[in-house]
Amino acid sequence: MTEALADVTEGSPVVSLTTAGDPRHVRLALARRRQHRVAAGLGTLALIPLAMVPDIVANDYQLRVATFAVMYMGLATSWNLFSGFTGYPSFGHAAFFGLGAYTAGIGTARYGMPIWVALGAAFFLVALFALAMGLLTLRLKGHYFAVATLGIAEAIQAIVNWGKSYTKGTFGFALPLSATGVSYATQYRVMLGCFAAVVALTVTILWSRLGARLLAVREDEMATESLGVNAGLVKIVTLGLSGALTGLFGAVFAWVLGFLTPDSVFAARIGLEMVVMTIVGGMGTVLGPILGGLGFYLLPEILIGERNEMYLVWIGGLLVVTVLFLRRGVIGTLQHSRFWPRGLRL
Amino acid sequence: MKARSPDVVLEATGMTKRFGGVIAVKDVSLDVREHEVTGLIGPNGSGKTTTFSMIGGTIRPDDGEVRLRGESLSRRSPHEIARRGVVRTFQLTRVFPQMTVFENLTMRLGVRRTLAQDDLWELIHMVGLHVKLDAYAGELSYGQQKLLDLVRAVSMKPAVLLLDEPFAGVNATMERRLVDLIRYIRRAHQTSVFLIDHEMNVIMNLCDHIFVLANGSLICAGEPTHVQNDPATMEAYFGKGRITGPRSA
Repeated sequence: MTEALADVTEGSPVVSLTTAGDPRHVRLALARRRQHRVAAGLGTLALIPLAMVPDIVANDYQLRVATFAVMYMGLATSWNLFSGFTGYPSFGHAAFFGLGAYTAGIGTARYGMPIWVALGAAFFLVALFALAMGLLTLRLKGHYFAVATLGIAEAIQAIVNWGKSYTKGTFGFALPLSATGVSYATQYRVMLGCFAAVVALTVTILWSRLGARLLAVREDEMATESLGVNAGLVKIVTLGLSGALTGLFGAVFAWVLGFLTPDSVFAARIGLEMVVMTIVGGMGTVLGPILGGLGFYLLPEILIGERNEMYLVWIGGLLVVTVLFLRRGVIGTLQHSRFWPRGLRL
Repeated sequence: MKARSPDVVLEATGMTKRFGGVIAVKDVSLDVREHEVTGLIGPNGSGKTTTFSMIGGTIRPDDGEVRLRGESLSRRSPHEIARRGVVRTFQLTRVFPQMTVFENLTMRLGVRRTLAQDDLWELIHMVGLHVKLDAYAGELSYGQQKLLDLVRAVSMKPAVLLLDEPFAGVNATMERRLVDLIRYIRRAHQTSVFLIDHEMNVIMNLCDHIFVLANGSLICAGEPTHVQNDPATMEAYFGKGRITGPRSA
Protein backbone atom coordinates (compact mmCIF):
# COMPACT_ATOMS: atom_id res chain seq x y z
CA MET A 1 0.00 0.00 0.00
CA THR A 2 2.85 2.30 0.84
CA GLU A 3 4.45 2.17 -2.56
CA ALA A 4 1.14 2.58 -4.28
CA LEU A 5 0.46 5.60 -2.12
CA ALA A 6 3.70 7.29 -3.04
CA ASP A 7 3.05 6.64 -6.72
CA VAL A 8 -0.39 8.14 -6.59
CA THR A 9 0.91 11.24 -4.89
CA GLU A 10 3.88 12.00 -7.04
CA GLY A 11 3.07 10.23 -10.25
CA SER A 12 5.43 8.21 -12.40
CA PRO A 13 8.88 9.70 -12.81
CA VAL A 14 8.91 12.16 -15.66
CA VAL A 15 12.34 13.42 -14.80
CA SER A 16 15.55 11.49 -14.82
CA LEU A 17 16.42 9.96 -11.48
CA THR A 18 20.04 11.01 -11.74
CA THR A 19 20.23 14.03 -9.51
CA ALA A 20 23.75 15.19 -10.31
CA GLY A 21 23.06 17.73 -13.02
CA ASP A 22 19.42 18.41 -12.32
CA PRO A 23 18.23 21.92 -11.73
CA ARG A 24 17.17 22.86 -8.22
CA HIS A 25 13.44 22.51 -8.72
CA VAL A 26 13.82 18.94 -9.96
CA ARG A 27 16.18 18.06 -7.11
CA LEU A 28 13.70 19.51 -4.67
CA ALA A 29 10.81 17.51 -6.12
CA LEU A 30 12.85 14.30 -6.03
CA ALA A 31 13.95 14.90 -2.45
CA ARG A 32 10.37 15.54 -1.43
CA ARG A 33 9.23 12.33 -3.07
CA ARG A 34 11.90 10.38 -1.20
CA GLN A 35 10.78 11.96 2.05
CA HIS A 36 7.18 11.05 1.29
CA ARG A 37 8.14 7.44 0.62
CA VAL A 38 10.08 7.18 3.84
CA ALA A 39 7.21 8.73 5.78
CA ALA A 40 4.65 6.41 4.18
CA GLY A 41 6.91 3.45 4.94
CA LEU A 42 7.32 4.43 8.58
CA GLY A 43 3.58 5.00 8.85
CA THR A 44 2.89 1.52 7.55
CA LEU A 45 5.42 0.05 9.97
CA ALA A 46 3.71 1.85 12.85
CA LEU A 47 0.58 -0.12 12.03
CA ILE A 48 2.24 -3.34 13.19
CA PRO A 49 2.51 -2.46 16.89
CA LEU A 50 -0.90 -0.83 16.69
CA ALA A 51 -2.40 -4.02 15.29
CA MET A 52 -0.80 -5.95 18.14
CA VAL A 53 -2.43 -3.86 20.85
CA PRO A 54 -5.13 -6.51 21.57
CA ASP A 55 -2.36 -9.00 22.41
CA ILE A 56 -0.59 -6.56 24.69
CA VAL A 57 -3.33 -4.98 26.77
CA ALA A 58 -4.10 -6.42 30.21
CA ASN A 59 -7.87 -6.60 30.01
CA ASP A 60 -10.98 -5.90 27.98
CA TYR A 61 -11.39 -2.49 29.52
CA GLN A 62 -8.03 -1.34 28.20
CA LEU A 63 -8.84 -2.77 24.79
CA ARG A 64 -12.09 -0.84 24.84
CA VAL A 65 -10.21 2.35 25.68
CA ALA A 66 -7.75 1.64 22.86
CA THR A 67 -10.65 1.15 20.43
CA PHE A 68 -12.16 4.51 21.27
CA ALA A 69 -8.76 6.21 21.28
CA VAL A 70 -8.22 5.00 17.71
CA MET A 71 -11.72 6.19 16.83
CA TYR A 72 -10.98 9.68 18.14
CA MET A 73 -7.69 9.76 16.25
CA GLY A 74 -9.66 8.93 13.13
CA LEU A 75 -12.38 11.47 13.87
CA ALA A 76 -9.87 14.26 14.43
CA THR A 77 -8.13 13.25 11.20
CA SER A 78 -11.43 13.35 9.32
CA TRP A 79 -12.27 16.77 10.72
CA ASN A 80 -8.80 18.03 9.89
CA LEU A 81 -9.14 16.86 6.30
CA PHE A 82 -11.65 19.61 5.68
CA SER A 83 -11.37 22.18 8.44
CA GLY A 84 -7.65 21.86 9.14
CA PHE A 85 -6.56 22.17 5.53
CA THR A 86 -9.08 24.74 4.30
CA GLY A 87 -9.29 26.74 7.52
CA TYR A 88 -13.09 26.62 7.55
CA PRO A 89 -13.87 25.64 11.15
CA SER A 90 -16.77 23.20 11.14
CA PHE A 91 -18.49 22.80 14.48
CA GLY A 92 -21.10 20.54 12.94
CA HIS A 93 -19.19 17.32 12.45
CA ALA A 94 -21.22 15.77 15.27
CA ALA A 95 -24.09 15.74 12.77
CA PHE A 96 -22.06 13.58 10.38
CA PHE A 97 -21.03 11.26 13.19
CA GLY A 98 -24.59 10.92 14.45
CA LEU A 99 -26.12 10.48 11.01
CA GLY A 100 -23.57 7.78 10.23
CA ALA A 101 -24.40 5.99 13.47
CA TYR A 102 -28.16 6.29 12.92
CA THR A 103 -27.94 5.22 9.28
CA ALA A 104 -26.14 2.07 10.35
CA GLY A 105 -28.49 1.61 13.31
CA ILE A 106 -31.75 2.10 11.43
CA GLY A 107 -30.39 0.23 8.43
CA THR A 108 -29.74 -2.88 10.50
CA ALA A 109 -32.63 -2.58 12.97
CA ARG A 110 -35.39 -1.55 10.58
CA TYR A 111 -34.35 -2.84 7.18
CA GLY A 112 -32.28 -5.84 8.22
CA MET A 113 -29.18 -4.74 6.34
CA PRO A 114 -26.02 -6.71 6.96
CA ILE A 115 -23.63 -4.52 8.94
CA TRP A 116 -21.19 -4.13 6.01
CA VAL A 117 -23.96 -2.82 3.79
CA ALA A 118 -25.04 -0.49 6.59
CA LEU A 119 -21.50 0.90 6.88
CA GLY A 120 -21.44 1.63 3.16
CA ALA A 121 -24.89 3.20 3.33
CA ALA A 122 -23.73 5.41 6.19
CA PHE A 123 -20.71 6.54 4.19
CA PHE A 124 -22.69 7.52 1.10
CA LEU A 125 -25.70 8.99 2.85
CA VAL A 126 -23.56 11.19 5.06
CA ALA A 127 -21.51 12.22 2.02
CA LEU A 128 -24.72 13.45 0.39
CA PHE A 129 -25.74 15.23 3.56
CA ALA A 130 -22.32 16.88 3.88
CA LEU A 131 -22.52 18.06 0.27
CA ALA A 132 -25.94 19.57 0.92
CA MET A 133 -24.68 21.22 4.09
CA GLY A 134 -21.73 22.57 2.10
CA LEU A 135 -24.04 24.11 -0.48
CA LEU A 136 -25.86 25.90 2.32
CA THR A 137 -22.95 27.02 4.46
CA LEU A 138 -19.80 27.36 2.34
CA ARG A 139 -20.68 30.87 1.25
CA LEU A 140 -19.96 31.83 4.84
CA LYS A 141 -16.52 32.19 6.34
CA GLY A 142 -14.87 32.12 9.76
CA HIS A 143 -17.18 32.50 12.72
CA TYR A 144 -20.26 32.67 10.53
CA PHE A 145 -19.44 29.30 9.03
CA ALA A 146 -18.71 27.84 12.47
CA VAL A 147 -22.03 29.00 13.90
CA ALA A 148 -24.01 27.89 10.86
CA THR A 149 -22.58 24.36 11.02
CA LEU A 150 -23.17 24.19 14.76
CA GLY A 151 -26.77 25.27 14.21
CA ILE A 152 -27.38 22.63 11.56
CA ALA A 153 -25.92 19.93 13.79
CA GLU A 154 -28.18 20.96 16.67
CA ALA A 155 -31.17 21.01 14.35
CA ILE A 156 -30.41 17.48 13.17
CA GLN A 157 -30.26 16.21 16.74
CA ALA A 158 -33.58 17.91 17.47
CA ILE A 159 -35.14 16.26 14.43
CA VAL A 160 -33.90 12.84 15.50
CA ASN A 161 -35.32 13.41 18.98
CA TRP A 162 -38.60 14.51 17.51
CA GLY A 163 -39.09 11.77 14.90
CA LYS A 164 -39.94 9.15 17.56
CA SER A 165 -41.85 6.78 15.31
CA TYR A 166 -38.81 6.37 13.08
CA THR A 167 -35.84 6.98 15.36
CA LYS A 168 -37.32 5.96 18.74
CA GLY A 169 -36.53 9.50 19.92
CA THR A 170 -34.54 10.05 23.06
CA PHE A 171 -35.04 6.46 24.23
CA GLY A 172 -32.79 5.12 21.56
CA PHE A 173 -32.72 1.54 20.35
CA ALA A 174 -30.51 -1.52 20.17
CA LEU A 175 -28.90 -2.78 16.97
CA PRO A 176 -29.88 -6.39 16.26
CA LEU A 177 -26.77 -7.08 14.26
CA SER A 178 -24.48 -5.38 16.68
CA ALA A 179 -20.99 -6.50 17.48
CA THR A 180 -22.15 -9.07 20.03
CA GLY A 181 -20.44 -12.28 19.15
CA VAL A 182 -17.53 -10.44 17.56
CA SER A 183 -14.49 -10.27 19.78
CA TYR A 184 -13.28 -6.97 21.16
CA ALA A 185 -9.99 -7.58 19.35
CA THR A 186 -11.79 -7.73 16.01
CA GLN A 187 -13.76 -4.62 16.81
CA TYR A 188 -10.53 -2.84 17.63
CA ARG A 189 -8.93 -3.95 14.38
CA VAL A 190 -11.92 -2.83 12.31
CA MET A 191 -11.62 0.58 13.93
CA LEU A 192 -7.86 0.56 13.31
CA GLY A 193 -8.46 -0.33 9.65
CA CYS A 194 -10.80 2.65 9.24
CA PHE A 195 -8.27 4.89 10.95
CA ALA A 196 -5.41 3.70 8.71
CA ALA A 197 -7.56 4.23 5.62
CA VAL A 198 -8.43 7.78 6.66
CA VAL A 199 -4.78 8.64 7.31
CA ALA A 200 -3.68 7.10 4.01
CA LEU A 201 -6.36 9.08 2.21
CA THR A 202 -5.31 12.26 3.99
CA VAL A 203 -1.66 12.05 2.97
CA THR A 204 -2.63 11.03 -0.56
CA ILE A 205 -4.74 14.18 -0.81
CA LEU A 206 -2.29 16.42 1.03
CA TRP A 207 0.64 15.45 -1.18
CA SER A 208 -1.37 15.84 -4.36
CA ARG A 209 -2.57 18.89 -6.23
CA LEU A 210 -5.86 18.84 -4.33
CA GLY A 211 -3.98 19.15 -1.03
CA ALA A 212 -1.99 22.12 -2.25
CA ARG A 213 -5.22 23.71 -3.41
CA LEU A 214 -6.85 23.18 -0.03
CA LEU A 215 -3.93 24.93 1.66
CA ALA A 216 -4.14 27.69 -0.92
CA VAL A 217 -7.83 28.18 -0.08
CA ARG A 218 -6.86 28.44 3.57
CA GLU A 219 -4.20 31.02 2.76
CA ASP A 220 -6.11 33.22 0.33
CA GLU A 221 -9.28 32.13 -1.39
CA MET A 222 -9.49 35.06 -3.79
CA ALA A 223 -5.91 34.61 -4.95
CA THR A 224 -6.61 30.90 -5.44
CA GLU A 225 -9.57 31.75 -7.67
CA SER A 226 -7.51 34.27 -9.59
CA LEU A 227 -5.15 31.43 -10.50
CA GLY A 228 -7.97 29.59 -12.21
CA VAL A 229 -8.82 27.21 -9.38
CA ASN A 230 -12.47 26.56 -8.58
CA ALA A 231 -12.18 27.07 -4.84
CA GLY A 232 -15.87 26.37 -4.24
CA LEU A 233 -15.61 22.94 -5.85
CA VAL A 234 -12.42 22.12 -3.95
CA LYS A 235 -14.09 23.01 -0.66
CA ILE A 236 -17.34 21.17 -1.18
CA VAL A 237 -15.74 17.96 -2.45
CA THR A 238 -13.47 17.87 0.57
CA LEU A 239 -16.29 18.63 2.97
CA GLY A 240 -18.27 15.76 1.43
CA LEU A 241 -15.35 13.40 1.91
CA SER A 242 -14.59 14.61 5.42
CA GLY A 243 -18.24 14.23 6.39
CA ALA A 244 -18.51 10.76 4.88
CA LEU A 245 -15.46 9.56 6.79
CA THR A 246 -16.84 10.98 10.01
CA GLY A 247 -20.10 9.20 9.26
CA LEU A 248 -18.24 5.96 8.71
CA PHE A 249 -16.71 6.22 12.17
CA GLY A 250 -20.19 6.91 13.53
CA ALA A 251 -21.45 3.72 11.90
CA VAL A 252 -18.59 1.65 13.30
CA PHE A 253 -19.20 3.25 16.68
CA ALA A 254 -22.87 2.19 16.55
CA TRP A 255 -21.80 -1.32 15.64
CA VAL A 256 -19.31 -1.48 18.51
CA LEU A 257 -21.70 0.03 21.04
CA GLY A 258 -24.79 -1.91 19.99
CA PHE A 259 -27.13 0.71 21.37
CA LEU A 260 -27.89 4.22 20.14
CA THR A 261 -29.38 7.33 21.69
CA PRO A 262 -29.29 10.76 20.06
CA ASP A 263 -27.26 12.16 22.90
CA SER A 264 -24.54 9.52 22.58
CA VAL A 265 -23.79 10.37 18.94
CA PHE A 266 -25.24 13.79 18.12
CA ALA A 267 -24.04 15.78 21.13
CA ALA A 268 -22.31 19.02 20.12
CA ARG A 269 -19.57 17.92 22.52
CA ILE A 270 -18.45 15.28 19.99
CA GLY A 271 -17.97 17.87 17.27
CA LEU A 272 -16.21 20.12 19.73
CA GLU A 273 -13.83 17.35 20.76
CA MET A 274 -12.72 16.84 17.17
CA VAL A 275 -12.02 20.56 16.95
CA VAL A 276 -10.07 20.78 20.19
CA MET A 277 -8.04 17.61 19.55
CA THR A 278 -6.97 18.91 16.16
CA ILE A 279 -6.16 22.42 17.37
CA VAL A 280 -4.04 21.09 20.21
CA GLY A 281 -2.28 18.55 17.99
CA GLY A 282 -1.83 20.91 15.05
CA MET A 283 -4.40 21.96 12.46
CA GLY A 284 -3.49 21.30 8.86
CA THR A 285 -0.92 18.64 9.67
CA VAL A 286 -1.26 14.87 9.37
CA LEU A 287 0.33 13.96 12.68
CA GLY A 288 -1.37 16.71 14.67
CA PRO A 289 -4.89 15.27 14.86
CA ILE A 290 -3.46 11.80 15.49
CA LEU A 291 -1.43 13.00 18.44
CA GLY A 292 -4.27 15.24 19.58
CA GLY A 293 -6.83 12.44 19.44
CA LEU A 294 -4.56 10.01 21.23
CA GLY A 295 -3.49 12.45 23.91
CA PHE A 296 -6.94 13.74 24.50
CA TYR A 297 -8.47 10.36 24.92
CA LEU A 298 -5.70 8.66 26.84
CA LEU A 299 -4.43 11.38 29.17
CA PRO A 300 -7.58 11.68 31.27
CA GLU A 301 -7.77 7.90 31.34
CA ILE A 302 -4.22 7.60 32.62
CA LEU A 303 -4.27 10.55 34.99
CA ILE A 304 -7.75 10.32 36.41
CA GLY A 305 -8.13 6.59 36.06
CA GLU A 306 -11.74 6.82 34.96
CA ARG A 307 -13.81 8.86 32.58
CA ASN A 308 -15.73 11.43 34.51
CA GLU A 309 -16.65 15.04 34.04
CA MET A 310 -13.11 16.05 35.00
CA TYR A 311 -12.11 15.56 31.39
CA LEU A 312 -13.93 18.79 30.58
CA VAL A 313 -11.44 20.61 32.77
CA TRP A 314 -8.74 18.94 30.72
CA ILE A 315 -10.22 20.10 27.45
CA GLY A 316 -10.47 23.68 28.66
CA GLY A 317 -7.02 23.74 30.24
CA LEU A 318 -5.18 22.22 27.29
CA LEU A 319 -6.95 24.48 24.83
CA VAL A 320 -6.00 27.59 26.80
CA VAL A 321 -2.37 26.49 27.05
CA THR A 322 -2.25 25.69 23.33
CA VAL A 323 -3.83 28.96 22.26
CA LEU A 324 -1.47 30.93 24.51
CA PHE A 325 1.82 29.17 23.91
CA LEU A 326 1.54 26.87 20.90
CA ARG A 327 -0.67 28.65 18.44
CA ARG A 328 0.00 26.12 15.70
CA GLY A 329 -0.51 23.17 18.04
CA VAL A 330 2.16 20.73 19.15
CA ILE A 331 2.98 19.26 15.74
CA GLY A 332 2.41 22.51 13.90
CA THR A 333 4.91 24.32 16.11
CA LEU A 334 7.44 21.54 15.63
CA GLN A 335 7.02 21.64 11.86
CA HIS A 336 7.43 25.40 11.80
CA SER A 337 10.74 25.24 13.63
CA ARG A 338 13.86 25.60 11.56
CA PHE A 339 14.77 21.94 12.00
CA TRP A 340 11.88 20.78 9.88
CA PRO A 341 12.27 20.76 6.08
CA ARG A 342 10.06 23.49 4.65
CA GLY A 343 7.23 22.08 2.60
CA LEU A 344 7.46 18.54 3.99
CA ARG A 345 3.87 18.18 5.07
CA LEU A 346 3.17 15.49 7.61
CA MET B 1 1.98 59.08 -34.11
CA LYS B 2 2.42 55.36 -33.71
CA ALA B 3 -0.65 53.39 -34.74
CA ARG B 4 -2.11 50.99 -32.21
CA SER B 5 -2.01 47.31 -32.92
CA PRO B 6 -5.22 46.47 -34.80
CA ASP B 7 -5.91 43.27 -32.87
CA VAL B 8 -8.13 43.80 -29.85
CA VAL B 9 -7.59 41.13 -27.18
CA LEU B 10 -9.73 42.43 -24.38
CA GLU B 11 -12.61 44.79 -24.82
CA ALA B 12 -14.76 46.32 -22.10
CA THR B 13 -17.80 48.32 -23.16
CA GLY B 14 -20.12 50.52 -21.14
CA MET B 15 -18.85 49.29 -17.75
CA THR B 16 -20.86 50.77 -14.90
CA LYS B 17 -20.79 50.03 -11.17
CA ARG B 18 -22.74 51.68 -8.38
CA PHE B 19 -22.07 51.16 -4.69
CA GLY B 20 -25.23 52.43 -3.02
CA GLY B 21 -25.58 56.03 -4.18
CA VAL B 22 -22.01 56.31 -5.40
CA ILE B 23 -21.27 55.65 -9.04
CA ALA B 24 -17.78 54.17 -8.83
CA VAL B 25 -17.43 53.54 -12.54
CA LYS B 26 -19.63 55.20 -15.14
CA ASP B 27 -19.98 53.96 -18.70
CA VAL B 28 -16.30 53.14 -19.20
CA SER B 29 -15.23 51.54 -22.45
CA LEU B 30 -11.66 50.53 -23.10
CA ASP B 31 -9.65 47.92 -24.89
CA VAL B 32 -6.34 46.12 -24.71
CA ARG B 33 -4.53 45.35 -27.93
CA GLU B 34 -2.38 42.38 -28.79
CA HIS B 35 1.15 42.51 -27.29
CA GLU B 36 0.77 46.04 -26.04
CA VAL B 37 1.28 47.36 -22.56
CA THR B 38 -1.81 49.36 -21.73
CA GLY B 39 -1.97 51.65 -18.72
CA LEU B 40 -4.90 52.73 -16.59
CA ILE B 41 -4.22 55.80 -14.50
CA GLY B 42 -6.23 58.22 -12.45
CA PRO B 43 -6.33 59.80 -9.01
CA ASN B 44 -7.21 57.78 -5.90
CA GLY B 45 -10.83 56.73 -5.90
CA SER B 46 -11.26 57.23 -9.62
CA GLY B 47 -12.44 53.65 -10.15
CA LYS B 48 -9.34 51.93 -11.46
CA THR B 49 -9.39 48.91 -9.18
CA THR B 50 -13.17 48.60 -9.49
CA THR B 51 -12.72 48.45 -13.27
CA PHE B 52 -10.09 45.73 -12.86
CA SER B 53 -12.29 43.79 -10.49
CA MET B 54 -15.17 43.92 -12.97
CA ILE B 55 -12.92 42.60 -15.71
CA GLY B 56 -11.55 39.91 -13.40
CA GLY B 57 -15.02 38.89 -12.26
CA THR B 58 -14.67 39.59 -8.54
CA ILE B 59 -17.13 42.49 -8.82
CA ARG B 60 -20.23 42.07 -10.95
CA PRO B 61 -20.86 45.16 -13.09
CA ASP B 62 -24.30 46.77 -13.06
CA ASP B 63 -23.97 47.35 -16.76
CA GLY B 64 -21.52 46.70 -19.55
CA GLU B 65 -19.73 43.78 -21.05
CA VAL B 66 -16.23 42.36 -21.21
CA ARG B 67 -15.07 40.34 -24.18
CA LEU B 68 -11.88 38.35 -24.60
CA ARG B 69 -11.14 37.90 -28.30
CA GLY B 70 -14.84 38.31 -28.97
CA GLU B 71 -16.02 35.85 -26.32
CA SER B 72 -18.12 37.38 -23.56
CA LEU B 73 -16.76 37.03 -20.04
CA SER B 74 -19.78 38.57 -18.34
CA ARG B 75 -21.33 36.47 -15.59
CA ARG B 76 -18.34 34.15 -15.48
CA SER B 77 -16.76 33.46 -12.12
CA PRO B 78 -13.21 34.66 -11.37
CA HIS B 79 -11.62 31.23 -11.84
CA GLU B 80 -13.29 30.75 -15.22
CA ILE B 81 -12.13 34.16 -16.38
CA ALA B 82 -8.60 33.36 -15.19
CA ARG B 83 -8.65 30.05 -17.00
CA ARG B 84 -9.79 31.71 -20.20
CA GLY B 85 -6.73 33.91 -20.12
CA VAL B 86 -7.43 37.08 -18.14
CA VAL B 87 -5.21 36.78 -15.08
CA ARG B 88 -4.89 39.46 -12.46
CA THR B 89 -2.62 40.31 -9.59
CA PHE B 90 -3.76 42.37 -6.63
CA GLN B 91 -2.68 45.70 -5.19
CA LEU B 92 -1.11 43.98 -2.21
CA THR B 93 0.68 40.81 -3.21
CA ARG B 94 -1.38 37.72 -2.63
CA VAL B 95 1.21 34.95 -2.41
CA PHE B 96 0.35 32.09 -0.07
CA PRO B 97 2.58 33.00 2.89
CA GLN B 98 2.57 29.66 4.70
CA MET B 99 3.27 27.67 1.59
CA THR B 100 6.73 27.36 0.08
CA VAL B 101 7.67 29.13 -3.12
CA PHE B 102 7.64 25.71 -4.77
CA GLU B 103 4.12 25.00 -3.49
CA ASN B 104 2.97 28.44 -4.62
CA LEU B 105 4.08 27.55 -8.12
CA THR B 106 2.91 23.93 -8.25
CA MET B 107 -0.47 24.40 -6.58
CA ARG B 108 -2.32 24.97 -9.83
CA LEU B 109 -1.14 22.06 -11.97
CA GLY B 110 0.45 19.70 -9.46
CA VAL B 111 4.14 18.91 -9.13
CA ARG B 112 4.57 16.67 -12.15
CA ARG B 113 2.95 18.91 -14.73
CA THR B 114 4.54 22.05 -13.33
CA LEU B 115 8.01 20.48 -13.50
CA ALA B 116 7.50 20.06 -17.23
CA GLN B 117 6.98 23.80 -17.70
CA ASP B 118 10.48 24.81 -18.71
CA ASP B 119 9.63 28.43 -19.40
CA LEU B 120 8.28 28.85 -15.86
CA TRP B 121 11.48 27.58 -14.26
CA GLU B 122 13.52 29.71 -16.62
CA LEU B 123 11.59 32.73 -15.40
CA ILE B 124 12.07 31.70 -11.77
CA HIS B 125 15.79 31.42 -12.41
CA MET B 126 15.79 34.79 -14.11
CA VAL B 127 14.26 36.56 -11.12
CA GLY B 128 16.55 34.70 -8.72
CA LEU B 129 13.86 32.80 -6.85
CA HIS B 130 15.38 29.41 -7.71
CA VAL B 131 17.47 29.62 -4.54
CA LYS B 132 14.36 30.28 -2.46
CA LEU B 133 12.16 27.42 -3.66
CA ASP B 134 11.82 25.79 -0.25
CA ALA B 135 11.35 29.00 1.73
CA TYR B 136 7.87 29.95 2.87
CA ALA B 137 6.57 32.70 0.62
CA GLY B 138 5.87 34.75 3.74
CA GLU B 139 9.59 34.72 4.52
CA LEU B 140 10.48 36.47 1.27
CA SER B 141 11.07 40.21 1.07
CA TYR B 142 8.19 42.27 -0.27
CA GLY B 143 9.93 42.71 -3.60
CA GLN B 144 10.54 38.98 -3.93
CA GLN B 145 6.89 38.35 -3.12
CA LYS B 146 5.97 40.71 -5.95
CA LEU B 147 8.21 38.77 -8.30
CA LEU B 148 6.70 35.47 -7.19
CA ASP B 149 3.20 36.87 -7.57
CA LEU B 150 3.99 38.03 -11.08
CA VAL B 151 5.72 34.83 -12.17
CA ARG B 152 2.87 32.76 -10.73
CA ALA B 153 0.37 34.79 -12.76
CA VAL B 154 2.51 34.47 -15.90
CA SER B 155 2.68 30.69 -15.41
CA MET B 156 -0.98 30.62 -16.44
CA LYS B 157 0.10 31.78 -19.90
CA PRO B 158 -2.48 34.56 -19.88
CA ALA B 159 -3.70 36.35 -22.96
CA VAL B 160 -4.00 39.47 -20.85
CA LEU B 161 -2.19 40.11 -17.60
CA LEU B 162 -3.93 42.60 -15.31
CA LEU B 163 -1.48 44.17 -12.88
CA ASP B 164 -2.89 46.32 -10.09
CA GLU B 165 -0.17 48.73 -8.98
CA PRO B 166 2.79 46.42 -9.54
CA PHE B 167 5.28 49.13 -8.54
CA ALA B 168 3.62 50.28 -5.34
CA GLY B 169 5.86 50.06 -2.32
CA VAL B 170 8.98 48.72 -4.03
CA ASN B 171 12.37 50.44 -4.17
CA ALA B 172 13.96 51.79 -7.34
CA THR B 173 16.05 48.69 -7.99
CA MET B 174 13.10 46.39 -7.66
CA GLU B 175 11.06 48.73 -9.83
CA ARG B 176 13.61 48.40 -12.64
CA ARG B 177 13.60 44.63 -12.28
CA LEU B 178 9.82 44.55 -12.45
CA VAL B 179 9.81 46.77 -15.53
CA ASP B 180 12.37 44.53 -17.20
CA LEU B 181 10.37 41.49 -16.25
CA ILE B 182 7.14 42.92 -17.65
CA ARG B 183 8.88 43.82 -20.90
CA TYR B 184 10.39 40.35 -21.08
CA ILE B 185 7.06 38.67 -20.39
CA ARG B 186 5.37 40.63 -23.12
CA ARG B 187 8.06 39.78 -25.61
CA ALA B 188 8.81 36.16 -24.71
CA HIS B 189 5.35 35.04 -23.65
CA GLN B 190 3.32 37.00 -26.18
CA THR B 191 1.20 38.43 -23.43
CA SER B 192 -0.69 41.70 -23.43
CA VAL B 193 -0.33 43.67 -20.23
CA PHE B 194 -2.90 45.98 -18.68
CA LEU B 195 -1.67 47.80 -15.61
CA ILE B 196 -2.70 50.35 -13.04
CA ASP B 197 -0.10 52.55 -11.43
CA HIS B 198 0.74 55.93 -10.02
CA GLU B 199 4.41 55.95 -10.98
CA MET B 200 4.17 58.37 -13.89
CA ASN B 201 7.78 57.85 -14.97
CA VAL B 202 7.30 54.14 -15.35
CA ILE B 203 3.86 54.40 -16.88
CA MET B 204 5.00 56.87 -19.52
CA ASN B 205 8.02 54.72 -20.28
CA LEU B 206 6.42 51.35 -20.32
CA CYS B 207 2.97 51.82 -21.80
CA ASP B 208 2.01 51.92 -25.45
CA HIS B 209 -1.42 53.27 -24.70
CA ILE B 210 -2.97 54.90 -21.65
CA PHE B 211 -6.50 55.36 -20.37
CA VAL B 212 -7.21 58.04 -17.78
CA LEU B 213 -10.04 57.72 -15.27
CA ALA B 214 -11.38 60.48 -13.05
CA ASN B 215 -14.45 60.20 -10.84
CA GLY B 216 -15.39 56.95 -12.52
CA SER B 217 -15.39 58.30 -16.06
CA LEU B 218 -12.88 57.99 -18.85
CA ILE B 219 -11.50 61.47 -19.49
CA CYS B 220 -8.62 60.78 -21.84
CA ALA B 221 -7.03 58.00 -23.86
CA GLY B 222 -4.02 57.87 -26.11
CA GLU B 223 -0.32 57.30 -26.26
CA PRO B 224 1.82 58.57 -23.36
CA THR B 225 2.85 61.88 -24.92
CA HIS B 226 -0.74 62.69 -25.74
CA VAL B 227 -1.97 61.90 -22.24
CA GLN B 228 0.88 63.81 -20.68
CA ASN B 229 -0.11 66.95 -22.52
CA ASP B 230 -3.82 66.58 -21.96
CA PRO B 231 -5.19 69.46 -19.88
CA ALA B 232 -8.08 67.44 -18.44
CA THR B 233 -5.69 64.78 -17.18
CA MET B 234 -3.43 67.36 -15.61
CA GLU B 235 -6.40 68.97 -13.96
CA ALA B 236 -7.67 65.65 -12.59
CA TYR B 237 -4.28 64.89 -11.12
CA PHE B 238 -3.05 68.24 -9.90
CA GLY B 239 -6.07 70.51 -9.69
CA LYS B 240 -6.98 73.53 -11.75
CA GLY B 241 -4.46 76.20 -12.62
CA ARG B 242 -1.57 74.82 -10.62
CA ILE B 243 0.43 73.15 -13.30
CA THR B 244 1.35 74.95 -16.44
CA GLY B 245 2.92 72.21 -18.48
CA PRO B 246 3.74 68.52 -18.58
CA ARG B 247 5.91 67.39 -15.77
CA SER B 248 7.38 64.11 -14.76
CA ALA B 249 6.42 62.89 -11.34
